[in-house]
Amino acid sequence: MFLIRMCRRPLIPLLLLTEFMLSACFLSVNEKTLRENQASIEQLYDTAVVECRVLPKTVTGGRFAISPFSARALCRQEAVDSYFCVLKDPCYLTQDGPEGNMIVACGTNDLAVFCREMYVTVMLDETYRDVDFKEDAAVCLLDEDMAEELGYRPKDTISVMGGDENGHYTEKAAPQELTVIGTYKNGGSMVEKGAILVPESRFYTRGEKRLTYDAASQNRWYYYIKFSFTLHPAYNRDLERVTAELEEAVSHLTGLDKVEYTLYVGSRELEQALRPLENKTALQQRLSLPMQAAFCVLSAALTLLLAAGERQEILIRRLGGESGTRVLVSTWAALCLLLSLLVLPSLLVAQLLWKGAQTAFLLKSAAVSMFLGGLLLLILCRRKLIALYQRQD
Amino acid sequence: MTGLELDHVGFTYPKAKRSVLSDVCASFAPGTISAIRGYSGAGKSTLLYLIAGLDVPTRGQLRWNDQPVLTGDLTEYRRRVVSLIAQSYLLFPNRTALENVCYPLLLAGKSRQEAETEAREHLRSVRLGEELYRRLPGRLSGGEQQRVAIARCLASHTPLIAADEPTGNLDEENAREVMGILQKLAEEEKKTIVIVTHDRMIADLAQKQYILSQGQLLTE
Repeated sequence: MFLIRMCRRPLIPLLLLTEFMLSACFLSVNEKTLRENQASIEQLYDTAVVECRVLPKTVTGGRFAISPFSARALCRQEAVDSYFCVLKDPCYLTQDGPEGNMIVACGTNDLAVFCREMYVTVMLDETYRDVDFKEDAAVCLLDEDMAEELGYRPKDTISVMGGDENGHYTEKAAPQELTVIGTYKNGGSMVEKGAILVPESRFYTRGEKRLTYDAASQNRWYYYIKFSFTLHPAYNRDLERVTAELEEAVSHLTGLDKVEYTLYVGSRELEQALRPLENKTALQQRLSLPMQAAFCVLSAALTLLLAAGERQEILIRRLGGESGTRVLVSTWAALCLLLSLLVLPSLLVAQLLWKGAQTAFLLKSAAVSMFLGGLLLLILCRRKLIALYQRQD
Repeated sequence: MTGLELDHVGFTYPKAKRSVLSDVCASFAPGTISAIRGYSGAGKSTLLYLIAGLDVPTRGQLRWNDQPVLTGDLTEYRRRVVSLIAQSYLLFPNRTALENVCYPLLLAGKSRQEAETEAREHLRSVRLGEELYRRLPGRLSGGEQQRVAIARCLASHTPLIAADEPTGNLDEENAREVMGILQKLAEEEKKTIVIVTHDRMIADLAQKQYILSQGQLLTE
C-alpha cells in the first residue's frame, strides 16, 4: 500500500532515484578513471626508459670524443641501467697482402640502436640472428659493396689487425679472426665507407688480441664517438636528484681537444605523459570528496522533503488515535524501505560500472538520509498536535 | 450519557502572557449540534482543539459522560470519543476517497474487505457519487472532500464530532448540504456535534449557540 501511495506522488522518489543513480554513475566513473590513471602513472614510472645523451657543451657542437674509461665510470652510477656507444679505430685486413688494406673498424655494443642512430641497414645471415653485440663475440659485418668486391660471404672468416700509435699497420698486434655474419648498407654519412662493424669488446679484450694495439694508440684513437645511456625505471620517481648527480658527473668529463660535455636527459617525454595524468588524478581526488558530500546532502535534502511531506499523514493518524511512537515507527520503516528500494538499482549500477568504494558511499548516503529523515519524523511525531494542526491550517 | 462537559476550562499558550480561555463552562448533550461563534482571535478554535483532544487545558477539566478526559489517555480519547472535521478537510493526500474512509476501520482491526464494504456505505450516506471513490482528494471539489471527511468521521464511530469551520471553504449550496448531513448525524445517530464557525447562517442551523468572548463561553 505504501509503495502504491508513493507511486501516486512520485516526484520526490523519482528525484531520489535519479540522484542515487547519478551519484552511483559519477562516482563509479570517477573512481574507475582515477584507478586507471593511477595504474597508468604507476606503469609509466615502472616502465618508462629515460635516455640520457652526453653532448658537447659548445654552441657549434664540436667533435664528440670521450674516453671509454671515463664513460664507463659514469655508467657505474647505480641509476644507470644500460649504455650505447660507438667507437672507431683504423685497422687492417691482413690476408689481402703483406700490409693488408687499411680500413676502419666501427664498434658498438648494441646493433639495433646502432642501426637506428647511424642510419644503417643490417642484413644478417639467418644463422646469426641471435648474435648479441653486448657479448664478446668474434664476429663482424661488412659493408655490402666491400663484401661483394672482396668476395666475402657470411660464415667466412676474415683476419684484422689494429694499428700503432700513428695509425699504421704493425706486426706487434696479433690479428683477430672474425666471422662474417652478414652485411650492412650504409644509409648516411655517419659510418665511413668500407668500415667493418664489430662488437665493442673487440677493441680491448684478451691482451694482445685487440684492435687497439697499445696504450699510446688507445689514447690517440680509442674514443667513443657516440655515447648515451638509459636510467633504471626504479629511479624515475627520483629523476630530479638522479639527474643532478649525473649532470655533476658529466661536467667533469673531458674529451679530446678538451671539449666539455653536458647531459641531455630525455625525461620530457615522460613528463609530457605524466603531467596531464597526474593533474587529472589530483583533480579527480580533490573533486571526489566534495562531490560525495554534495550527493549526500542532496539525498538527505530530498529525504527530508519526503519526510516533511508526511506531516499531514502524521497529523491525521495521530488525530485518528494512533500513538506518536506507532506513527513514527511505521512511517520511518516505510521511508527506510523506500530508500532501500531506491538505492538498490544504484548499487547494481555501481557494481556493474566499477566494483569500488562507491557502494559503501551509497549505503552510507542512504543511511544518513534514513537517519535524518527519521529525525524529522521524530520531531513531527513528538510535536504538539495543536502546533502541527495550526501549521497545517 | 451526559455528553461533553467543560468545567472551568482555561488555556494559555506557552510563552503567551495572556490566557486565550479563562473560565469556560458548558455542556454539549448527545444528539445536538452546538455552534460556537466569536471574533477572530477570541479562542474559539483553541477551545475546539481542546475538545478534539489536540491539547490539554492549562486549567479546569473536560468530562465525557462524567469521566474526566485529562486523567485518561488522550490517544484513546481521540480514537474512541472524538473526530475532527477541519476546514481544510484534512484528508490523506495520496489515498483515494475510499481509502481515506477505510483508515479508521482498518485501525479498528477490520479486514480490508470489511472496511471497504462499510466505507462504501458511509460514502453513500454522505451522497458521494460512486465514480469518485477511487479519486485522490486533490481531484475532488471542496464539498466532495468535506463529505469524504464526514464519512471518515462516521467510519470512526466516535460519539463526538468537533467541526472546525466545516463549511468555511464551501459555497452556500455545499455548506447547506454538509450541515444537513451533520444534522442528520445528530438526530439519527445521536452524535454530539460541536461546530466552530463565524458564519451566522451556519450557526442558526444548530440547536444551541454560544459566543466566545474574553475567554468565556456565553450562551446566546
